[in-house]
Amino acid sequence: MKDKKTIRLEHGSGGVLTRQLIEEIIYPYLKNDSYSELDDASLFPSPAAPGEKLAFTTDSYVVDPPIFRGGNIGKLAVFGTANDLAVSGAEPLYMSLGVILEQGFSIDDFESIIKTLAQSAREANVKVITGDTKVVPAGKGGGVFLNTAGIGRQVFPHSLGGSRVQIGDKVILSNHIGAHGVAILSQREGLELGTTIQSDCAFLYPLCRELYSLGLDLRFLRDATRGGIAAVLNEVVEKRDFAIEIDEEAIPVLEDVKSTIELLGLNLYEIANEGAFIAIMAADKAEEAVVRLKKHPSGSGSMAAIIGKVTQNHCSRVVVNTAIGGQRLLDFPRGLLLPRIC
Amino acid sequence: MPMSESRNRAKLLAHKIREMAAHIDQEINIMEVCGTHTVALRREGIHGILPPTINLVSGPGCPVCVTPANYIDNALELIKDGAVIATFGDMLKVPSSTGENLAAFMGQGKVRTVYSPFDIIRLRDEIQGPLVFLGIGFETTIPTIAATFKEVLARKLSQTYLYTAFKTVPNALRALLADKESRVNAFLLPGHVSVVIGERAYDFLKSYKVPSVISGFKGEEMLTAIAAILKQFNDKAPTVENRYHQVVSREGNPKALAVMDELLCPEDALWRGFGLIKESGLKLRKKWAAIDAARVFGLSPLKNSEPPGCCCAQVVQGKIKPNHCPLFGRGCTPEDPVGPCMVSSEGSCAAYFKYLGVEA
Ligand code: SF4
Repeated sequence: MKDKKTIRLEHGSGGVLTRQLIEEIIYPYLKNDSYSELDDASLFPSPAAPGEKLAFTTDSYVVDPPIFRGGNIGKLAVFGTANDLAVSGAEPLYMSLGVILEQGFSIDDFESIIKTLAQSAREANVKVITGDTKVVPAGKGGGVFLNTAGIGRQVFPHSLGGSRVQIGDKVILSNHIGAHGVAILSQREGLELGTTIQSDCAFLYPLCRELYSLGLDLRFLRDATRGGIAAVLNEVVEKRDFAIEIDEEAIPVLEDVKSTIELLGLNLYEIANEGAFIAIMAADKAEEAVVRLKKHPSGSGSMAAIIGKVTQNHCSRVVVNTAIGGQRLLDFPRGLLLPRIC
Repeated sequence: MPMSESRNRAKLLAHKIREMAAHIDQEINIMEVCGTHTVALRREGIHGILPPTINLVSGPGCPVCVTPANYIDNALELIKDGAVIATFGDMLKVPSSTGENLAAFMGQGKVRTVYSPFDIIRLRDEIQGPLVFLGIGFETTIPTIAATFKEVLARKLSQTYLYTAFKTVPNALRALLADKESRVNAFLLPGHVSVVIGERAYDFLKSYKVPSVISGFKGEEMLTAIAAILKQFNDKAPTVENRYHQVVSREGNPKALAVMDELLCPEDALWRGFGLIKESGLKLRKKWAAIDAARVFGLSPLKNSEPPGCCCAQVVQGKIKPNHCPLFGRGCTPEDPVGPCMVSSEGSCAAYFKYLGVEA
């Protein structure tokens, strides 16, 4: 008697079950030529400007708590959606904002969320041009849920979805990981651990633009949100005749994040981030890409590093070289991750 | 990338291990007794570093895996009678004997997960009616749970209960050694458990002449301990060695032992896979009967039954490796686990699936 027939929390964790839900229930009904890959954003020809492409994406935000160290759900709703456009090679331009509020939610908190949202939109040079607000009865919603849809203009004219990845390419992580998930968890659960950790929520378009200028040597970009780098890397190797090998020691992580993760028994690779992406680069341009990220004045790439490479062994798997010289697999996230962290 | 010092030291250790193994003309089956080791060994990829004559065998140290299935039946029963269950997340997806699980009740607020048992003191304010904490674990977790319930008693918190299925390590080792079919001929002894019970608790092992080493959880520490086990084989001098001096003392942690002793007393405990093992568990002392969920709610005694086809019983005894279970990775995956060994993050099947893959 398995509970197969109802939605489980894991269906929202960005792991295997999320994929299944999309591939088996949503995608078969909605497939069309602009929705042909499981990418974060879709590119489609601009009806007004022939030859130009636009990018379109949407994302919902249900983080609990809505106000956290290092940001709030408003910042997440702008940057998260803008980042989905950026990793698809597009400059974010316009957004919509859908708000679902629960009866009883503090108006002061709501105002501070909207203030931050507006500030983040200015920072990202994005205009919120339409919106909608609904209120649900107490007990029927989680305080505040936001949805943003974003439109951008394609500025990088090649696919960044993984089809151009080749054996020999290098894997780059744009910044340290784990901070967002740990900050949210420690605050939500009222833990005494990890109280100095801030969410890494950041606007990533300026960093992505640094890499666009490397042209075709930039093969792949994806922000490592839900499901963490484990989900991103596994999506790259899935059904392909190559593997990705990463070096555990090379993964940038802040000391306090690392120790909190160890104490709580969490998996660094599966934790959601809101300020880091994976880039795959041609080997001879990888160093240069890292230098560009590190030097970027936003500071959002200050800990960028080459963390691994695309290899021929262990096809379709992600393999971790451990600090003591062993190897293990890095699997697609499967279990229940921390619910509602984005 | 620069090769780290730890990688260098590990290389030396691996070399030493291979050298010693070449001089030992027998297969060595090292059982890691503790679930944290089960995960850490595979996470560090140590299986691939060891020569083929040295096997790592998972043991009974995953608390969820050695808890009989009808413990979950009883917890579900409590929910139906109106109680709220507080538990560590690992218990959520363990199937009951009819395949139900606690996770299904999370949405209704009937099951609350905690990261520390002390969270139930905060939960008590929020929740109406009976609140039952699932007392699962070894000597590592038991002291904190005992300390929490000492606080519950001190604050006279009403309707706050403990449902114990605590297990203790030493007598489980005795049971393993008494089993004639067992292939295990060395122990990697738990680090965290030993912090509490002390090196002294393993003195009895010396008479069994089974090389045993207390180890930490870092890759290098585990390699060091494995090297120490081989050295004992090589020197034909089996004993109990403490290679986790930094935190494990001879006497253990007196405070932790005292708080356990204040609330709990030994009982013959039922282990999934093993059956009844003499004095291998802890239950609430009679004088605390008022907070003992098993007594207050008259819960049925624990009994063993396995889901059809599940080999967890053999897995926790180290008799088979998870990938030898016919359901491993086929009918049984982390999304849809059949037995507890695939549910718990410390379970042997879950660790194999995650770090070695189905092809392992
Ligand atoms: S693989 Fe699944 S069914 Fe087989 S022993 Fe492990 S938990 Fe039980």
